Amino acid sequence: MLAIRDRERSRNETMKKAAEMQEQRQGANEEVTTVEFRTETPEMFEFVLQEGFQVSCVDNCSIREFLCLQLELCGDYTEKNIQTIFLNGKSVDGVDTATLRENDILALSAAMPGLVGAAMRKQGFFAKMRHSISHEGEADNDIEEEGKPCLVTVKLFNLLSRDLARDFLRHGLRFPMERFRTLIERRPKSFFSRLNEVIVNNERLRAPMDLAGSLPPSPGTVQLRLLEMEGC
Amino acid sequence: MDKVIRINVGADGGPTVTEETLGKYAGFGGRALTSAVVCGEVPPTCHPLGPENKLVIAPGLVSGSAASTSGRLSVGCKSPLTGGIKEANAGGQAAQYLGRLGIAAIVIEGEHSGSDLYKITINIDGVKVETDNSLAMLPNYDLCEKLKDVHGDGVAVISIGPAGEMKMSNSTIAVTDPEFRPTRHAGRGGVGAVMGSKGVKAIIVDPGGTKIRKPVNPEKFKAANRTFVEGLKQHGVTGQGLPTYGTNVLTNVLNEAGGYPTYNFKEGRYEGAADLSGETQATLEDERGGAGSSTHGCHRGCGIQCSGTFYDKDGNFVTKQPEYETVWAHGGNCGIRDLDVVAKLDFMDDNYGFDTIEMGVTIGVAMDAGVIEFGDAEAAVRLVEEAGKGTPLGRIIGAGAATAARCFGIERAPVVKGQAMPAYDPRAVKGIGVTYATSTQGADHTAGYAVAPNILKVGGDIDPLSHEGQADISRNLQIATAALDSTGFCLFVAFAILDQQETFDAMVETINGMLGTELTGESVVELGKAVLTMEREFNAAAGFTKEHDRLPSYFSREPLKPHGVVFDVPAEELDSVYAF
Repeated sequence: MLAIRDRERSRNETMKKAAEMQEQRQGANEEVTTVEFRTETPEMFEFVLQEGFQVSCVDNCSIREFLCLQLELCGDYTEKNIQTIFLNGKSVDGVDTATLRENDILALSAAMPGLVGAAMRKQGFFAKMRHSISHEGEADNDIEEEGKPCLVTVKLFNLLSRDLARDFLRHGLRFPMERFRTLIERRPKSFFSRLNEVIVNNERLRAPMDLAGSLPPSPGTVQLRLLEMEGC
Repeated sequence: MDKVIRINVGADGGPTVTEETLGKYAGFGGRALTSAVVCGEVPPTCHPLGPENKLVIAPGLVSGSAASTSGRLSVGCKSPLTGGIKEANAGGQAAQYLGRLGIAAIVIEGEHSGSDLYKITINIDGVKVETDNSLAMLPNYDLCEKLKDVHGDGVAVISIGPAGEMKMSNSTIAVTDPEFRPTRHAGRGGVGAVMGSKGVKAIIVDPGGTKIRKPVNPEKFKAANRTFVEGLKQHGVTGQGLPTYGTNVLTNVLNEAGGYPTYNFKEGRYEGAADLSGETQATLEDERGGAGSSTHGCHRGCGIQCSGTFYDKDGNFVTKQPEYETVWAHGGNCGIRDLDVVAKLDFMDDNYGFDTIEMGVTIGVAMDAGVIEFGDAEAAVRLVEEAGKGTPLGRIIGAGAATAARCFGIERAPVVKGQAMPAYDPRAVKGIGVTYATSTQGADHTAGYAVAPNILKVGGDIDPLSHEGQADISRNLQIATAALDSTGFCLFVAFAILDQQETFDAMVETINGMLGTELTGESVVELGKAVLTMEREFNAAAGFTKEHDRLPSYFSREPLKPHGVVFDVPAEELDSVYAF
């Protein structure tokens, strides 16, 4: 038991370091605009979360380790609510056997309607119907990279994007600037009225509505981060 | 509820109405009843638009009662699109009102001669058939507005648009929703053309003076119905996912899986899917607001509320919330990534009376053939307009995907038995390909729905993680679905009854409490088998062989991106689906 706890602690520390190292690594290579904001309704960023965003991860960790150790999404929530998982477009049945590598794409969804929706569920009754696109699940034996920081793309769909928006945004996530600008320009006034404060590259905007205009015209990446509400 | 209303449009001196009891059809409702009448009374080799065909309209066994989510209306006939038997069903208010009037079925039969159009009014005093040529070629919304002036909006209307009047193979029968809008459609298989061939434009169902159907065993019914509703509410799909996002919640998931047919089934992933997703749609609807914007029921008494209402940016009503299959058909399948365009096309389909799946796939075929460009939204709108007006090009579009592909000279017609495939590529999800291939209805995603095979154990236990046995699971699902289609319950209850044994039991007990029957899981299975056997025999007598139970060969030849998969379920396995 002690060995397991030690391993978990070690993993946890590595995850935190991974996030820091990754930010430094990425920051050196590309133009990153930081957008920090406060809101009581982070789920309104669903439009970003569904398209896929980059977060840091420890190479070769399992999906369960990623969710539990990095995001503290453990136990019941993972089992009951994260019912549909895709790793690089393939349906995952085992969160302990599917491992994440650099540039992988992980998509998470609640249980889905329809026969095909039901077929996509992890270990669902209809799993055989999609066997040709099922993730095989075996761990990657290339352990040389294990424990090193890497970036993965995460997509959050439907109820999970609402449930987990706060968790992911609080940790910070990266999104392509060009697409972010397009999506922000489409937001109605009501979206900005729910933003309490917006800080772009450490400068507080006079009004959240100014967000689109304050974004640089160049491509690159936006680093989005949810700040705690003041007084919390 | 045991009245059968027969309307003979070919009688000397004008249409006649007779009323009889269910007789040999006793115990049947919904799909079981429509298929029993068609199999028993329609010569399988007849022409679908000829005098021998019949149109049968039947509410489910418990429609008109307080049973939650039980407002489905079945429509049956020989299909002009497939040439086989057809059952298409719709939500809306009509099933509940027919049930309250004690009507188990309306059978429209006989040879319609001349060009007169009939309006049928059904109320507590009886049935009246009137000639009303002022309704000719009215689109469904205009028709309902006109009928509202006469009948008010407390009735339900079952109607055809111009597509049905022109007897197009892609034509629906519309049913009004609680807001008296013709948004609910028995969409598949060209049932509108059969109604048109009988000269019937509209059926007005007036529930005035009726009461909700009383259960035979009120206590049992009440307790079971309460448990059933609780089961729907507590399940993640029926209690949260569907009310929040509607069926379009599937776009992101199917796209991620690489099973989202794009550019007329050439690829399995669409780059613009996020612009069409249920998440984007729900956000847009919430932002625009309006009554019933992102959550709405297609009939009163629905416990799921999977629908919604689509308003434009200025707050004007456009259409009901387009469903996943519609958004896919007019959106991703055609390379169109604008929800406002999709909503406009959905409205046009409902108004003219076209099935959105068949129409979207047909436009995809036209795009693939170079008639218009993929992604050209204006041209897509123009094609639907042409179809609604019946121009020469429009007649081809209105004839469905298979005919359009023949006319435009391309092989890639994603159809089975002449009916367009829905929004799930069978190469990525082979199990659904088995159902597309072998269903009695042509390619149909609802023919083998996720209806509790684990509880019903139709064909014994199935190992879900084994790759073998696609036919077994498809068979079980088709049997269970045929049974559920006969009850009047919406197919979407499937998710709650799939995962929660007590909810399944409550559903069966709700039927038993209502009807005084002693149905069990086994008898539900037997009902499903009986329905499928009848339908299969009808199709065999109509000329269908096992060679018709196949997907188009290009699905076995052309790998689907991104996974590079083909449909490779052996023919022998397809042939084993009906081994029961």
